[in-house]
Amino acid sequence: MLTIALNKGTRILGKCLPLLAAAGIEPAEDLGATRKLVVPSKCGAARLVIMRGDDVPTFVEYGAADIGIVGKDTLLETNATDYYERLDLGVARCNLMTAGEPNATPPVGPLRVATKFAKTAVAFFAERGQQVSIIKLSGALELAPQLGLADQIVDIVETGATLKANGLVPLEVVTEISTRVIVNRVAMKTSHAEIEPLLGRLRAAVSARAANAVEAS
Amino acid sequence: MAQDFWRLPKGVDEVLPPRARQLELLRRQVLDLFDSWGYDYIEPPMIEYLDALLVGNDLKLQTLQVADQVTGRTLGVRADMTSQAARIDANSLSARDATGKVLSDQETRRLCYAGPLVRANPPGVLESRVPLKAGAEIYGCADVSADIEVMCLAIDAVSAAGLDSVVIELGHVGFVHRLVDAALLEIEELEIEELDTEEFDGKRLEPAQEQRLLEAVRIKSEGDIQALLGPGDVAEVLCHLVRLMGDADALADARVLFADNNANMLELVDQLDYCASRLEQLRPNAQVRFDLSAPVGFGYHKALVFALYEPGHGQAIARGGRYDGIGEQFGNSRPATGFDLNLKTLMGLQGVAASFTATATSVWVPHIDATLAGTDSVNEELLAKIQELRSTGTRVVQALCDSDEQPEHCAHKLEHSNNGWRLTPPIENRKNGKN
Repeated sequence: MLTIALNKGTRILGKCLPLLAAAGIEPAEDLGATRKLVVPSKCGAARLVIMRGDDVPTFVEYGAADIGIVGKDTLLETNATDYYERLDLGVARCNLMTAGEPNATPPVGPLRVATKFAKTAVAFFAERGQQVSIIKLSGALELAPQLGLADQIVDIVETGATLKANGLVPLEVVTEISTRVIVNRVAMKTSHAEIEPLLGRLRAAVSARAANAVEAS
Repeated sequence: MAQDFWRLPKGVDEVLPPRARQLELLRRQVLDLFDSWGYDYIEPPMIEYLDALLVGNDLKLQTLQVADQVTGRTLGVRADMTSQAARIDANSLSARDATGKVLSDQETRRLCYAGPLVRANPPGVLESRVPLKAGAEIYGCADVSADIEVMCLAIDAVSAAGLDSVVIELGHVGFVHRLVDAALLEIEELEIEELDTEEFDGKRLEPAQEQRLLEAVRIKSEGDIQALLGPGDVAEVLCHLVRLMGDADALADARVLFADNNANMLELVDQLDYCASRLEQLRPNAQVRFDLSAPVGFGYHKALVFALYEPGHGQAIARGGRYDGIGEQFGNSRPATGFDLNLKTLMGLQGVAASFTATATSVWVPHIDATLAGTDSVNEELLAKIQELRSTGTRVVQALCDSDEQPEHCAHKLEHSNNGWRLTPPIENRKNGKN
């Protein structure tokens, strides 16, 4: 039986469950209603495990879960690196962006950047040869420039509405984000006969979804 | 002094009884196996000049560095023993001419080793920062028969530890390397044609991007490969390649993928096919699997690579492959192939049963007060009995005072009766007298 780790965040979960269902994996109970963290699939071939997104790569790296479904933003930040990133589900798409107050004068000395995504931000500014001091926060990043804690933030931007409401403007795209399927390295080999067909069905579900979207527009 | 000074550093573990005994027995068992195949034991030093330790690999971040008080040069604590074995083969064991220059030789040499390493950076939870590695290497033989020999030996080492559902995965670094080279070429060609188009600017593959491409292949991320290379033949083939895993179907798919124009790639597929068929004959119990985009371990593997897995354990238990030519920098470029495994990981997978066997036969001798126990002859008899038991590999623990109680791990007791010193309960004759 395959163990599939899912991000409990409703944004990703809501978009992934239909794809999983199309690939033949449906939870036996409503994940929104139950308090259980481990729910078997109706087909009996898998069990779904609900956890914080940050923990998904860890469970998958150590083989506690065979498969994980998680945002690329989490993968870029995690210290766990020993897994296969096999499939881009193409859902929960957004951008990781820098943002700041409009027409702000560049600071004297290093740019102060507040972010949850410290690793990605460091790499982004390093590549452009810019000295920055990173201020690690865990949420409500938009506060930082308003209260004078930082010059810019690096955050996930979907529509830009939150930025706008807080008087910030998006500046540059750091990277594009979407939901990925990661697989434990050993499970990929030892349970190849189960995992590869599932990935194939998910891939088909992703294509079908994309085709529908084109048709609808 | 901090209150928690006794805590071990992150990722550092110590092995306690009875596991430590089990680990040492396992080390001997594996070395005996290597010895029975004619591999000569070497004991490379724990520290060397950093430059020597880093030849042919990318272990710089993994190698703990200290200053040599004698020369001021930087010393490294070994993070791997394969490079050391390669140096010993190419330099220490090679013949020299009258001027002291190393003569390149063609002699086949089998070497093995077992010892602790230090990883400067803590690896994942499943790996110790101070692993106990055992390995075996063949130098001087470029033929695939050497690769097959070390694969069989690796399987036997793991089976000897009692793991019998082992999976061996074969790969070849050449697939990825050739395609990444092709990706660079394709981009360069593009550059000439579309030098002035703005569109192309974002697609140039710089060294940092080559690293990123290798990383994308390592994690088998088709999305990242496409994002880095854009649409094109090479991207398509690379994306297909990372899917080629699993049983023999992977090879059949590879033949289709490379059917058009790629004799070189097909040659690599043939090599994997041949190894698999030999392994199926020689070690029918091992399941053979393939991974055509196999990662490059520490950067020294250049050709055929393999890894052993135990179902249910999240990481490889042994890794190996061919790494020809490392010896060049020590004056003697030699074909080389081999593998190593972490004995601590192997022990962890052995489970409780093995740990029990490792401590099974221990005998307790209650405290005998010389003045009360009676005659000297009784005492002499006791000493002789203890010596006899110890010489046949039984552990004998003598009480040091009256209040000493029989420890749990001593299942037997030596007691005096009219018939002399007897064991209760008696030790059943086991086929293997040891342990």
